[in-house]
Amino acid sequence: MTMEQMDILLNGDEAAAWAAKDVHVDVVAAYPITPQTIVVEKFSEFVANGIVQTEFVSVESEHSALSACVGAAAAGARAFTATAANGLQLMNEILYIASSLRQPIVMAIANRAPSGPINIHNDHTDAMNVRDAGWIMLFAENTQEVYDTIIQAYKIAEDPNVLLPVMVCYDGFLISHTAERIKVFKDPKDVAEFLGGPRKIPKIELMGKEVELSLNPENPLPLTFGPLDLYDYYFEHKRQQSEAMQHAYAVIEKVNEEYAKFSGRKYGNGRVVPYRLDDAEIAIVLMGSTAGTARYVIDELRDEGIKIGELRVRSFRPFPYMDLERYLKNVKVVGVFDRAQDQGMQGGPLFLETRAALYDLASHPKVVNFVFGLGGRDMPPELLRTTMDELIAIKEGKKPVFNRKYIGVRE
Amino acid sequence: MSSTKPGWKEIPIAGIPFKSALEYKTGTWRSFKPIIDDKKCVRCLLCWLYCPDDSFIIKWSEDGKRPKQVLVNYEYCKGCGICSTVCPTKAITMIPEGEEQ
Amino acid sequence: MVKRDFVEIRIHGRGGQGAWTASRILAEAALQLNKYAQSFPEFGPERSGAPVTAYARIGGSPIDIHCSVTKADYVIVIDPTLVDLAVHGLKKNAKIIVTHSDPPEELRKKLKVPDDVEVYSLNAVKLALDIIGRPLANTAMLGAFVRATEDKIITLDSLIEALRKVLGHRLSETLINKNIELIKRAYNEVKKG
Repeated sequence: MTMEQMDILLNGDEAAAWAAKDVHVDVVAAYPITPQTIVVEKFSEFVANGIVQTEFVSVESEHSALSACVGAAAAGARAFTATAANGLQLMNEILYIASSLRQPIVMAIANRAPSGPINIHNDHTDAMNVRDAGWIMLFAENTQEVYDTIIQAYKIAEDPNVLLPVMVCYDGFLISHTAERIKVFKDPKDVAEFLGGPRKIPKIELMGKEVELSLNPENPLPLTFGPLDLYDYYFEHKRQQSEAMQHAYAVIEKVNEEYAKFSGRKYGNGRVVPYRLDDAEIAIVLMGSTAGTARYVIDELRDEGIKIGELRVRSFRPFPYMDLERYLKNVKVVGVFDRAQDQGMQGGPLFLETRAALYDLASHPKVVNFVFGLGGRDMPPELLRTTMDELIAIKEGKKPVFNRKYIGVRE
Repeated sequence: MSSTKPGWKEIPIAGIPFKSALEYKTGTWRSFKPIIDDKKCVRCLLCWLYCPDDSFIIKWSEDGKRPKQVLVNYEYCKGCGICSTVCPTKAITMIPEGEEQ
Repeated sequence: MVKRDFVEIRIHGRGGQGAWTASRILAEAALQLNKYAQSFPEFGPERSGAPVTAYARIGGSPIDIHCSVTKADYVIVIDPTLVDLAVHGLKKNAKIIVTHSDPPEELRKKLKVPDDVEVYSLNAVKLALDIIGRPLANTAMLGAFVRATEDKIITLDSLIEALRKVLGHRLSETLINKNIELIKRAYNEVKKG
């Protein structure tokens, strides 16, 4: 039975703040940056109005914001922050520290093109820039999914087999500033129930004693977080992180299932969301809000008898290569859409990962790349339609296969 | 590295040190050694407070209220000399290691 | 299968006149009627006094599309100096609803409005000055929109409810009531041409 919910109008940023409120996080440390600003505004409103008892730490930079979250999480708190683009770049050092210290922090990212030239609009380059920082990275398609994914993220991050920080990415302005009708839980206590109450601190064995993995003065042995770790142990700790990321595949799926029972909403298998792929000969692969726009075009083409479908990647880290193999093995042509910089690469990051994922198939489809939407360049259905027409022509052998095309740029 | 060290499945996660600092006998690093002149020592315990390690041993009176004697734990003292600098009565002298009687 | 049963609304105003707020009120009103809606600004930083655009989509089923509105079903202009912007990017049989001292017939000629497009006008700035004492025509033009769309997209009741939801915590009860009066006057006084 699903929990009682209500319909409200929220934009993506407000939904992120609303989710953090419903989770009732212990600590928020954040620094405002467009297009994430509303997250910070809205959450500080909740604090000021006494709706939450969260410790809101006003910091002087994103570097400090995430540092404060690391400290808070190490002390056992549920910590939350949010940023975008240049702010995320300033956090870079602490991203690696947060994941290596295995702190289950959740961070909302309103994806924005990094400077320069300076721009405030959406693309995924900021997230792609930190894709190797050891964070789980989930991409939401719409405002509803932002809310749902942030709640799910705490359950994923805090799973004792995972213990990794999670980024919940959503398109700046396209989602962050778009108010949509969404469902939220009527009683935040239900969210607490879903998460199994307050954060449970994992226990580790240390010198024959069981201690909490936290800066808890009650611990029978005091712990040190973040000491020097040289060539004799660093590699082992990195190997542990790889293992945790490997566990995350199943945990993301499990949490998605549990959340579906609880909310009535489900996002594919949690890692990817397929649409009309069952008999598809052509597939597109993409992330974020464009997936919804693309479904209109896919329906249009389906009405014309074209067997085309969509695979939306929801979990970029860990990258769901097994799902791509499974859903795309019988497809003839795959078009991968990258809303991110590709300079000096064979294609955009999503394209490279997708093509690598399909390499081990006995016979793999043609995989081509469309780079689009940089710096907030619009991607309307008509423009998407032209890309899909290209894929149809390739499938019918009417056009040569290309490696990569730039869509929506002036020649 | 030596294959006798534990593998990734055996050590705690998050880079937490899993050995006690007591196992590291840092006293062997020392080139200068603090010597306390018990007659000059007023038991103020500034040396104990300032020691960056934990290399002072305090002997307490029977009621546990007064420090009776201050001694150096040479197994851990690295010989940094901070104690000798902060000592208000100049009771601690640093002498080259191996030159004491 | 995704349904494409929504209408697209574009609002022109100047930074500070409440174009984005107006689109949010529209979306909130749609929600009151158990419809689905989106409200978003022309993506960019707010600039006081500069021309800004806000959008809304309203439909009977969830709206999955996420891109700007290139062709609108309805265009609302809340600043008389921006009426020129109303005539581009229109769907067939669109309606434009503008605040202006000129009657709609005259505006149709001046702006060379295509024959299939209906023009509605109302001097909402004057009306707002009379009732709320400030030249803010955003709420009035929503009343005019309800009339122009024959209560089919949203209704007056849902609009008033939405006004309370969006602005209730920002405006005094007196000012809310004056805005409601303004909406009703605009609804009754807007002219078609």
